[in-house]
Amino acid sequence: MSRLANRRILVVEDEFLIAAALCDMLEDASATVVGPATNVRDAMILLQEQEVDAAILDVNLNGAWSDPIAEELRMRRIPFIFTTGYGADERTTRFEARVVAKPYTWEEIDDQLALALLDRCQS
Amino acid sequence: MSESGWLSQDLSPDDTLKALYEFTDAVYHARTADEIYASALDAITLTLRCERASILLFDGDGIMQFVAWRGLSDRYRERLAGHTPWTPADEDPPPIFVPDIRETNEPDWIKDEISSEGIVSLGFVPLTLEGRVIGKFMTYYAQRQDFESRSISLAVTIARQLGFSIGRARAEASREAALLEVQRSEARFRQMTEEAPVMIWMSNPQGHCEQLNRLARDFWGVAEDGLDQFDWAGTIHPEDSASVLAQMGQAIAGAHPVNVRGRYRNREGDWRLLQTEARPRYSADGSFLGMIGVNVDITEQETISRQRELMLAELNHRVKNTLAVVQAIAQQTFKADRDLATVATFLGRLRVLARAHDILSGVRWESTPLQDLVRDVLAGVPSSRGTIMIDGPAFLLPPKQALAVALALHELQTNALKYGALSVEGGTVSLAWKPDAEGRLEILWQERGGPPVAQPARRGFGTLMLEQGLVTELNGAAKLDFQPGGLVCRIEAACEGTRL
Repeated sequence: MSRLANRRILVVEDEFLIAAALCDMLEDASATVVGPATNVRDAMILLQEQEVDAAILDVNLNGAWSDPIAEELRMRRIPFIFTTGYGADERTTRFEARVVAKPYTWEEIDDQLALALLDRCQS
Repeated sequence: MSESGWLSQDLSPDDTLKALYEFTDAVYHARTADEIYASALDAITLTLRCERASILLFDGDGIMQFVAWRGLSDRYRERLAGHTPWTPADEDPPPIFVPDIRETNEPDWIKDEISSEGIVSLGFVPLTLEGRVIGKFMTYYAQRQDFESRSISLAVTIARQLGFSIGRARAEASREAALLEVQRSEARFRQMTEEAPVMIWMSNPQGHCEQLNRLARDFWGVAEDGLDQFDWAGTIHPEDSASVLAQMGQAIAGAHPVNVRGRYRNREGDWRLLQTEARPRYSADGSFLGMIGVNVDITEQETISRQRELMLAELNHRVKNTLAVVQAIAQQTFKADRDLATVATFLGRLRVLARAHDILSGVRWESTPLQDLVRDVLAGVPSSRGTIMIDGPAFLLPPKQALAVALALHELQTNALKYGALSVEGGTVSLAWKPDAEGRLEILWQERGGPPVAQPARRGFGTLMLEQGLVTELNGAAKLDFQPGGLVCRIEAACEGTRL
C-alpha cells in the first residue's frame, strides 16, 4: 500500500507533459489527483471547490510566481512541496517548504511529499 | 703724463668713497649678473684708474673664463682665457700686482700676447666666496705701475664686494630654480590627481572631505572652493547609508584601509553605485591625518553582472525544465512499460545529467570541484547494501569534462548496484583520484566483495560511455577490467583541471 494511497493531491504545473507524467505517477500510487492546474487562478478555484490533503506546486507558472497559492495553502495548513528548475532560493525558504529540483524522479516526489505530510502531523 | 701713469692721478678720498658707495648701491639693486659685472667694472676703472679691466670666473670645468670686460680684443680674451695664478681650491689668496710684465718669468708667448695688446702692467685680484677662489678681476695698464698699498686695499675691497654679490646672485638663482622645480612638480602632481579618470578624495581625521579631484567634484557638483559645505555622507542612498558610514567610521577610528560600496546621488540626482577604496594617510611625523581614497563608478558593471546572473539562472531553469519535459515524454512514451529496467536506467541517466548541470550552473559554468560532483552523483542512488569509500584531493574540472565524469560515475554506480559490489551486503567500492605532476588526472574505481565477475557478453551504453565517451571528452583513456575479485575501472584524463 502506497504512503499516498487515497490522499487528495493538488497538482499545479504549467508544463503539460510534466503535469501528465506527475499525475500518472500519483495515480499509480493510488492517490487522487486534484487538477492539474496550470495557473494561480485555476489552482485557487480548485482549492475553494475541492478537498485537498497535500499539494505539489511548481514555483514558476508561465513567468508568474506561485506565491499566492503557497500563501493560501499555508494559511489552511495544507502541506505542500515545491518543484522548481531554479533550485532552493529566497522564495522557497520563505515558505519553509520542501523543494524538489526538476527533473525529478518519482521516488523524490514520493519521499518529500510523505515527509511534508509527516511534518504537518507533528506540528 | 708721467711714466708711472694713472695712479699718480689718484681720485680724491671723497670721490673714491663716493664711487664705492655707488658700487655698493648698484650691486644691491642689480637684478642680473651682467648688471653686477657692469657696475663692478665702473668702480674698478674709476677708482683704480685703469681704462681696461675684466672679470673672469671659473666655469663648470674649473676653467677661468671672461664674463665681462672693457677694452680687450677678442684675440686677447681667446688666448688668455684659462690663464690664472689660482685654482678653485685655493683659500683666500692675496692679489698679485705685476708692475711690468716683461720683468716676470711668465712664458714668452704670454708676455708677447700681453705686450701686443699694449699692456705693460697688470693687477690680479682674486674673487672669493666663502673663502674659496671663484674667479678674479683684472686691471690693465699701458704703462708700468708701482702699486701702492692704498690702491691694493681698494682693489681687495671691491673684490670682496663683487665676490659677495656674485655669491648672492648665485644663491638667488639656485633658489629660483628650486622654486621653479617645486612649482613644476606641484603642477605635475596636481594634474595627475585632477585629471585622473577615477574620483580621488582626501578626508580629515573626522571624516570631513578636504579635497576632491575634478571627476569627484563633477560627480557631486561641488565647486573647488565649496568643500567646506560639502556633506558627502548626505548623498548616500538611505538603504546603504548606515552600512557605508559604519564601515568608514570604523576605518577612520582604527586608521586602517577600507573597501566599501554604496549608492550615491550625483549632481543630476541619479543614484550611482560607487566602489570606494580608502587608506589612512599620515603626516611626516606619523600622526593620522585622515583617509585618502578613490571611488570608481561601477553602476554599469553591476547592472551587467546582475543581468548575467539572471540570464544564467533563467537558462539553467529552462534547461532543467526541458530535461524534465524530456523525462515526462519518456514516462508517457513508455507508459505501458513503466516497470521496465531500461526505462528506469534511462530516467536515471537523465537525472544525473540534470544534477551535473545543476552543479555546473551553481559554479556559473566555470570549473567544478571534483569532490562535489562525486558526492552529488553517488548520493543520487544510495545503496542499502555495499559502501563506497571516496578519497581524493580537491581538484577543479572544466565543465565539459565534469559532465562526462558525472555520467561515467553514474554508469559505474548503477552497474555495481545491479551486478557488482553494491549489490551485496559487505561489498565495497573504493573511488580514488589523484593528479600527477603533468596535470593528468587518474580516477580509480575498484570493487571488492561483490558476486563473482564475468566479462559481459554485450557492450551496453555504460561501457560505451566509459570506454569511448570518456576518451573523447577527457582526451584520455578508460579501461574496464572485469577481474574475478571485482570490477576495476581506471580513467586517465589529460585534464586542464586545476589542483587546489
